[in-house]
Parts: sequence; C-alpha cells; structure tokens
Amino acid sequence: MKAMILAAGVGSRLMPLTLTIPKPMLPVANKPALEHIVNLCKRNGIQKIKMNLHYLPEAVDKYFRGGEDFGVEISYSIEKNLLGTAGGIKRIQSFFDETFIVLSGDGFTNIDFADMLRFHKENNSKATIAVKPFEDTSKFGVVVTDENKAIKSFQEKPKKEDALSNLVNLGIYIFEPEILDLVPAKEVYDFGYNLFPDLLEKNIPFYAYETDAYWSDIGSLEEYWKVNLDIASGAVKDYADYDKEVAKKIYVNTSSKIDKTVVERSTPPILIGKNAEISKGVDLRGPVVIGDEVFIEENAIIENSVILKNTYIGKGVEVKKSVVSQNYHMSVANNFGTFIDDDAVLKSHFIIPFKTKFNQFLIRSTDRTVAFFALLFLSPIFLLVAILIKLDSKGPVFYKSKRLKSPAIEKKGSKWYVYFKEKPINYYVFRTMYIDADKRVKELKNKYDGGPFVKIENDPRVTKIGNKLRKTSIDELPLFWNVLKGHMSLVGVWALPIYEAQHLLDKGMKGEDTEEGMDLTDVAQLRFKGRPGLAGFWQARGRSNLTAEERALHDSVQSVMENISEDDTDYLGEYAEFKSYRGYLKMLFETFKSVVRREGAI
Amino acid sequence: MSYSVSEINGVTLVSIGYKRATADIAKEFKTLLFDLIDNKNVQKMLIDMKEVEFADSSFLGAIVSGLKKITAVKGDIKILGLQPPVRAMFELTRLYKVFEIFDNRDDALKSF
Repeated sequence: MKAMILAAGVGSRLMPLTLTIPKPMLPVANKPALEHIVNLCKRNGIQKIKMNLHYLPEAVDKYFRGGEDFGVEISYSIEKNLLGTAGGIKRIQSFFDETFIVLSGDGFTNIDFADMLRFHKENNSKATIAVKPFEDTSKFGVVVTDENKAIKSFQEKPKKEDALSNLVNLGIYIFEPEILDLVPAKEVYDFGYNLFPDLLEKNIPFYAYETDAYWSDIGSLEEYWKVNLDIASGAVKDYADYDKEVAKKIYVNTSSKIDKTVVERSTPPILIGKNAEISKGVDLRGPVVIGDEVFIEENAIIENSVILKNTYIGKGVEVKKSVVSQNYHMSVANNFGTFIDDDAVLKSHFIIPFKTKFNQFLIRSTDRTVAFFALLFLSPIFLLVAILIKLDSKGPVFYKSKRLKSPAIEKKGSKWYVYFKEKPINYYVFRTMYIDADKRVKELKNKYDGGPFVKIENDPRVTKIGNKLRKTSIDELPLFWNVLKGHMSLVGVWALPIYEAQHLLDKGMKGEDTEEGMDLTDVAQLRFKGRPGLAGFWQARGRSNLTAEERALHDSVQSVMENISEDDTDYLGEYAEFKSYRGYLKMLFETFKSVVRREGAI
Repeated sequence: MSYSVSEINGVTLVSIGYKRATADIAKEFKTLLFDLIDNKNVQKMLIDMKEVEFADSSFLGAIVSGLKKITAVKGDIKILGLQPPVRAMFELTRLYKVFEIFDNRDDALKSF
C-alpha cells in the first residue's frame, strides 16, 4: 500500500503560529505533526509516501527530503493553486498504481492501517473511510451506514439532535486506484463535496471502518494545545518515545539539563525536548511540553502549557494554559514578573531589537520633554484652577486616583482577577467631585450598567466647577506630572482605576443586568497589555459619540498594534506603523488637533 | 467606491468597496448598519470585506456596535473574505471569537 499525505493547508486558524511554519510542521510533543504521520506509515509497513504541499513547501522539503532519515521514500507534489483534496491526488494519478491510503497532515492519530486495509479487502470495498463515534457531531462530517457498514449518506456538521449517526469522518481514506478515474483532471475537486456523492450515486462499494484509535485535528489553537498535552499525559498509545524517564511521567531528553529540585517539586506529566535547560526554583505544573533548546530561568512557573523550541523564559515569568511559539524571548519586563494569561499565543522571534529599544527611548524622551514644558507653561492655569476649586467646594485641589501601571491579570474558573503584585500608582487629577464621592461610588455602582466606560450624565457627585473641568479635560492636565515621572506615556491606553479594571474583567462589556448578548470580555481584556497613556485612539477619534464597545475596541486594537512583533511589521503593513516613533508622533498630533477642535467648539 | 447592499436567500450582503476602512467612513458605515437593522429589520447580515486592505479600530468598532444591535433582535453578523493583515487583526484582537469568519461566500450563506 502507498500513502498520500495531504499537507497543503495554510492553517489560518492557527495564526500566528503558522505565520512562519506551515501547519503540518508545527511540533506536536516536540516533533513536527507530519513526522508522527510518516512514522505511523512506516510502522504500518508503508514504504512510498507522496505529500502535496502549498504553503511554505520548502519547510517540509528541507526537513524530510527524500525520506532517507525516516526509513521511507517521500516525494512531493507542489500545488501552486490548490486543487481540492481529490483534485490534488488526480494530478499525480500515475503514482497510485496500487491500493493507497490518504491521510491528513494536520490530523493526529495512531490508527491501525493494517486492520483498516484488512476490512477494506474483506468487503471488496473500492473506497473506505475511517470513522469514530463522537458524542458531539456538530463540528464534523457524519457518515451514515447500514448494518454492514456500507455507507448510505453523509451529513455536514449536524446538531446532536439532527445527527443520523454518531460516526465522524476522520479524513483517513483507503482507495483502490481506479477510483481516481472518476475524478476530473485539472479541476478543483473535493472528496467530501464531489467524489463521495458520486460514489453513492454510482453504487460503488463504499464502506466505513470504525475505530477507537486516538484522533484529533490540530486545526485550532485549542485543539493544538490539547493534542500536545494529551500525548504528554499518555492518552495516545505508542507516542511517548522519550529518552529518559527521570521520575514518574517526567521524560527528559538526555541532552537536556534539569535541576534536581525542579524534578522533585514539579507535577507530572512533563515532556522535555533536546538541549533544554531548566534552572532551579522553576515550577513545572503538568501537563507541560517543553520544546528543544528552551531555556527557563529561576523561579519561572509553567502550567498546562506548550513551549515551542528555542524559547527563552526569564526569571519569575509565569506561563499558564498557553502556547508559546518558537524563538520567543520572554524576559522579565519589570520587577514583579511577566504574566502570560489564558489563550495567549506569543509569536516567533520576539527578541526586542535595537530599533524598538531606540524607538522606546525616543518615545520616553519625548514624553518627558513635552510633559516638562507642558507643566511649565500650564502652571499659571493650574494656579487659577486651584483657586476656583477651593472657592467652589471644600477639599483638596488634587484627587489621587489609584491605578495599576500595567495590571497583570489572571483567569480563575470563569472569572478574571487583577493581579496585585505591584504597588498601585497615584495618578493626579484635579478634584472634580465632592470629597465624600469615593464613599458614594458603591451606591452608584448600579449606574455603571453599560460597563465601566460609561460616563454618568449629570453625576450628582460632580461639583459645578468640576463639570466644566471634565468637559474641557482640564481636570486631566495634572497627569503630565505622571508622564514626567514615567508612570505613563503621552500616547497609550487609558489606565483604568482598579475597580473599573476589575469590573471590566468580571463583566466584560456586559452590564449588571444583561447577561445575554455578545461577550467582548476576551477582546476587552487585551487593553491591559498596552502601555498606559494619556491619549489613545478613542480620545483622539471623537470620544463622546462612541459606544462602550467602540471604546473597548479602540483600546484593544491600540494594545495589539503596540505589541506587533518586529517580525510581522512587513506582513501587517499599516497596522505596524503605529509602533514606530513616527506613529507615536502622528498620534500625538492627532490628539492635539482633536483637543483644539473640541476646545474651539465650546 | 462605496458600499453595496444586496439580498441573497434572505441574507443581507453588505460589501465594502473601500481599500482603507478607517475613521473617515466608520460613522457612515455604522449609520448604514443601524439603518438596516432598525428600519429594514435585517437579522441575517454578511459583511464582505474582500476589498479591504486596512480596517482601523474605528471601523472594527462600528462592526462590533452593529453586532451588538443585531444580537439584541436575535440576529447575527458574519464576516466574509478577510485579506491576510485584516484577518491577522481579527485574530490578534480575538474578534474571531465574536464573529464567524468565512472565506467562501456559499459556505457563509449556508451557515445562517
């Protein structure tokens, strides 16, 4: 039997992991997914393998070449224009002169081909599909058969209650070569959409082979993460071929160094690849998969995560329930540790280059210079405002608002928590409320129905002069002091007071009384990754006419654009411009213009 | 260059004819979406973005506002044809968790 591995997928749902690696080459338990499939073929006695490639084909070719290192013969068919699953095979029909098996390069399985082939031959089948019973069929193609497992019909992603069968098509097929005569040449042609309905219509012997083998797609990040941890946990038989079990279910390649105390304190299962180094005090909370050449510094915590190769993780960094991409350089950005939250995907080559550092230096210098002169020129106005505040109501001139400079956040169960590892910073603004306002905030909390961004109209807590100061944003001018101190930049995402941050994380964009509707929590919490600043996207782009969702979007997009890695700047074009010093100046100018325009309108 | 609105099998297809979908047109676009939802009672909306090379936060915000409005009447907005940088933006901002995104128009229409 020969094998065809479909390896042409782009893997757009696995972005950004697949920006530089084609999906079938993504490591699963420290080996490319394709290598597992090639090994599976070899174990099942297959000698000749063909792969079709489309996206980044050279990565596959370079790794497998002719298959000599893997004990099989591999050749390739490079499709410039994708021809569909069947069309891609038709193109190289002459290769398939005997019974052949078709496998998907991004499915992960340990299926027994020999048994499937036996079933295929016994039934004199011309086409056999491997199927597996699934509880929930709503994400898969379902195969309906008669009692002899002859295929009768198909259903695409039926809901559980509509499904006529629980047998899911695993995308593994055995065909007789004459089947390819039914496929038109040079056309986009698919097994599922085109060939299979044709087989049914022509009454060609067509069977489903039921298996209980492990099978999972790696098409989405969650599935990718899960397959890795499943293998580490031993859920897939025959796949834990690691060199050395240093303690129960802790497998470490002999070329890697791991501190003894780490082995003692860590929770299995753990897989560690080649030439990795794990320093003392590191806490690995399994299941954890650590790739080749990964370097983890003291006191870092890795929990339920997959760390891909050649990644550096600095002192005290915490990574939880995440996939960390290849060549990532994660060091401690501050003295309280860097926190990588749920579902984080960190992109490749994240070593902060000189250009970025220089940009940061320019931005910080500009921040401080502008803030210094602003304070200097504004001081007469400050004096005047101070007198007015004093005359208007009892209390101090300035209001100290406690905020976190860059709050670390964590998800526990379904709830998010703000991490209080750092000391909150006092942000100074002019007092615009009566002095007992803070006490009344709790009573007023119900008014924050639209989420934390909603400004309350005619807030009774606001003083008369306070109202004017707020409208003109003059109340915020003392924040230049915080800019001067380096607590925030001129351009960045607005730092939320702690209780508002907590509210945003708990409730997302939902109000207190509206549990229904869309949930923007995942989107909105991205804002915390951004640099705190005085003026951001929504301040510059018409602040008052925006809905809460729009403001959240502005903040999150800004955070994301600030964090685009150097590697993706070409790819993301205009999105990446914002990161540069030029982008910063542009933004500063835009905000200035918008403030002037607003002042003019009053 | 502008928007075009058409109806296919009960789904309202809104195609964006701008290469740069930014703050300049976001307000106008939001008004269009709101009008379709409020006055034309649209519940199934597919936004075709295949012409768009850059969509800024204002524009993404407008689509999200539209989604919020349409979910209130039990409708849905789905997205069609994202160019790679725009798609990356949907991924990075996690908007892909909020919108269903399609590459193929027929698949998108069938999904409603």
